[in-house]
Amino acid sequence: MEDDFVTIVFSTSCSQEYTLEKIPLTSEFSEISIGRTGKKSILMSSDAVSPNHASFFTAQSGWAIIDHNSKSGVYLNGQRIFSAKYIREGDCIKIADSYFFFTEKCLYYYKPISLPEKDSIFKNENGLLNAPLSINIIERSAWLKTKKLNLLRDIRMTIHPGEMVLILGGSGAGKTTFLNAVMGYEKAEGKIMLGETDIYEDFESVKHRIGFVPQQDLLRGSDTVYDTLENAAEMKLPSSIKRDKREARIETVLEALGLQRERDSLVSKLSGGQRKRLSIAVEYIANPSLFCLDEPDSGLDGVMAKALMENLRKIADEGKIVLVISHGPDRAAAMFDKVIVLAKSEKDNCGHLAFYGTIDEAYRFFDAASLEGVVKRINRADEGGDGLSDYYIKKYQSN
Amino acid sequence: MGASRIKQIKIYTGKCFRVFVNEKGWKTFISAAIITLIISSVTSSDMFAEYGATRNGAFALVCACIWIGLFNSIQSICRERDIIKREYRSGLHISSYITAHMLFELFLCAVESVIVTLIIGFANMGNLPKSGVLLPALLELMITFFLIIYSSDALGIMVSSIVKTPNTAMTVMPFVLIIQLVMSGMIFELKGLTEQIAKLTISKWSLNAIGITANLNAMENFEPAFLSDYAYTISNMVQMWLILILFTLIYGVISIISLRFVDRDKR
Repeated sequence: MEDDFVTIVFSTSCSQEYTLEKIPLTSEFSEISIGRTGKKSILMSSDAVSPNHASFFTAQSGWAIIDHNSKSGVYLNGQRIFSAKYIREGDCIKIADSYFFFTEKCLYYYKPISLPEKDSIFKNENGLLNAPLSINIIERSAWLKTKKLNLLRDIRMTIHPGEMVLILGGSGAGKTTFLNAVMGYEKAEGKIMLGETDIYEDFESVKHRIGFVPQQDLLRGSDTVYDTLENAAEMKLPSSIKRDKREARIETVLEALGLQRERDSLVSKLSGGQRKRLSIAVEYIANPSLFCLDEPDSGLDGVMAKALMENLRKIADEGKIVLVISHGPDRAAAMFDKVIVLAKSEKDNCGHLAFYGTIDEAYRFFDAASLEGVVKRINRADEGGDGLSDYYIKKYQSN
Repeated sequence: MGASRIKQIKIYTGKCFRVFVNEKGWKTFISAAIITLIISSVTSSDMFAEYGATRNGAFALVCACIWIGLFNSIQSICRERDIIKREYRSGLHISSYITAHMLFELFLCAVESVIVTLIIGFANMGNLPKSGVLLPALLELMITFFLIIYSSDALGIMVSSIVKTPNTAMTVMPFVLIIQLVMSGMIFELKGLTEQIAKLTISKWSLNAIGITANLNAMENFEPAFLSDYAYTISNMVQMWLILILFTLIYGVISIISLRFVDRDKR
C-alpha cells in the first residue's frame, strides 16, 4: 500500500535534466551496490564515480551506507562519511551528481538524464557546468607572528554562468587574496558555492573545475607548446576520454587561442602575449566552470591585451564564469559584464566590497568616466587617488 | 577526474626526458667524463695494487661520484617550485612527481656510471682485479658507482624538495658535500658521535664497497682497523649495496613528504 502516501522532496535547486527513480527495499535485497563499472545494482556513468563507489546494505539495525574509498566520496545529509553509517527515514545521500532519498520502503534515486552536450567529451560532472558562483566571505585574515591581520571582510555576491567579471581595486585592496579565497586556495571564513558544491568543503572533487591563470607564466620553458598542452590534457581531462578526442580538444584550444603556428615552438621562445595565451590554454583545456585570471594583460600592449580579453569573452560566452584582475581595464571595458570593486578601508585597514554591478552602473556610482577613474576615487591620496574608499564602502553597504 | 598516480608518473617521466633533450642535457655526461678523467690523472699508478694508493683513489672516486649525483638533481625540483605548487593545486600527486624524477635520474645515473666505469677501467687496466667478490670486478665497480651516484642524486632531489630556490640549493650543496667527505672516515679518524653520524653518510659505505671489490684486506700494509669494513665476502658486498639502496629510498620518501608542503609557500 505504498501508494497511499506522497513523498515530497524539497530541494534548493531542480534541473529538468534529472529524473526520479524508485527502488523498492524488499527483503530480497541485502545490498545495493553503486559504481561506474562491473556488475552493480546501480551503474552511474559520471567520471566522478569510482568503479566500486559505495553500497547500501542491511545491517543489524537497518539499512546503512558505506563508501568503498571512492575518489569523490559519499555525502550523508551534506557531510562526507568515512565509515559505514546507518541511514534513517528522510536521509539524503549524495554520490557524485546524483541524490538518493531514503524512506523505510524505498530508495528514491534522483538520476541525471544524459543529454547531448555541445562538446561531448565534457560531462556535467557534479552539476558544475553552467553553475552560479555564490560568494559569502565573512572574513579573511592572516597571522603576522602574533598579530592578526584582517585582509578582507563582508564580501557577498552571486556571479552567474556566462558572466565575465572584472576585479578592480587599488594596491593592497586584496584582489589576489579575494581570488584565492574564491578558488579555495586560501580559505576565508565563509562559504563559496559553485552550484550545489561547497568549494571549501568539497575542494578535492571541485578543483578540476577551477582554472587559474596566475600573474607569472608558470610554464616549463624547455617544453614545446603542443607537449605542454598535451600533458595538461592528460592530467586534467577525465581518464575515460580517448586519445583522438583528447587530440581534437588540444587542436580546438590551440585554434581558440591562436597558437596553431607556435605548436612546435619551445615555450621559452614565445613572446609575452603568446606565453600568456598558452597559460590560459593550459587551464582552458579542462573546460573549467570557473576561470580566474590574475592580471593576464600585464606586460602586453593595448592591441594584444584587447585580443586576449576577446579570447576570454569567448570563453565566458560558453557559459563559464570568468573573473579577471586587471590594471589596464579601460582597454577592454566593453568585454566585461560586471565589475567588483574592492577598496581598502582606512578605518580597519582591510579590504571591503565597494561595488558590484555592471560597468555603466559603476561609472554612475563612482561618478567616473572610466574604470581608471573608479580606481582613482578609492585610492589613497598619497597614491594619487581621491582617498574616498570609506565613503564608497559605506555608500555601497547602504544601497 | 584527472590522471591516476601511475599515469602521472608516465606523463612526468616523459616531460623530464623531453626537457633533458631540449635543454641539451647530454652535456652533463661530458661533465661526468671530465671529472673522472681528472680523478684518473691524479690517482697513483698503484691504484688497485697498493693499499694506500687504492684507498686514496677510492676516496677520490667516491667524492667524484657524490659530486656528479648531487649536481644532477640539486636544482631540478626547486627551480620549478612555483609550477609544482600550481600543478599540485590542480591535481598533481607529489608521489608521482618525485617517482617520475627518480626514474629519469635513474637513467641519467646509469649512463654516468657507465662513463665513470669505462674511464676508470681504461686508466687502471693493468692493476684492476680480474674478478670481484660477486661479479667480474669492472661490473661490480659499475654497480657500486651507479649506487653512489644514484643515492647522491636522490640526496640532491631531497635537498631540492626542501629548499625553495635554486640559490638556496646551491648554498646548501657545499655543506652536504663537506659532511659526506669529512664523515667518510678517510680524512679523519672518527670516534663516538662522529662515528655514528658517519653511518648515515653515503661516502662511508661507498668507500667500503670499492674497498671490498679491490680486496684491500689482501694487499700489503693493510690496516687492521678496517678489516671488517673491507671483508672480502659476498654478504658484506651486498650489505653495502643494500645500504646505498636504502638511503636512496629514504631520500625519496623524505622528498615526497617535504614537497607536499609546497602548498604552504607564501606568495
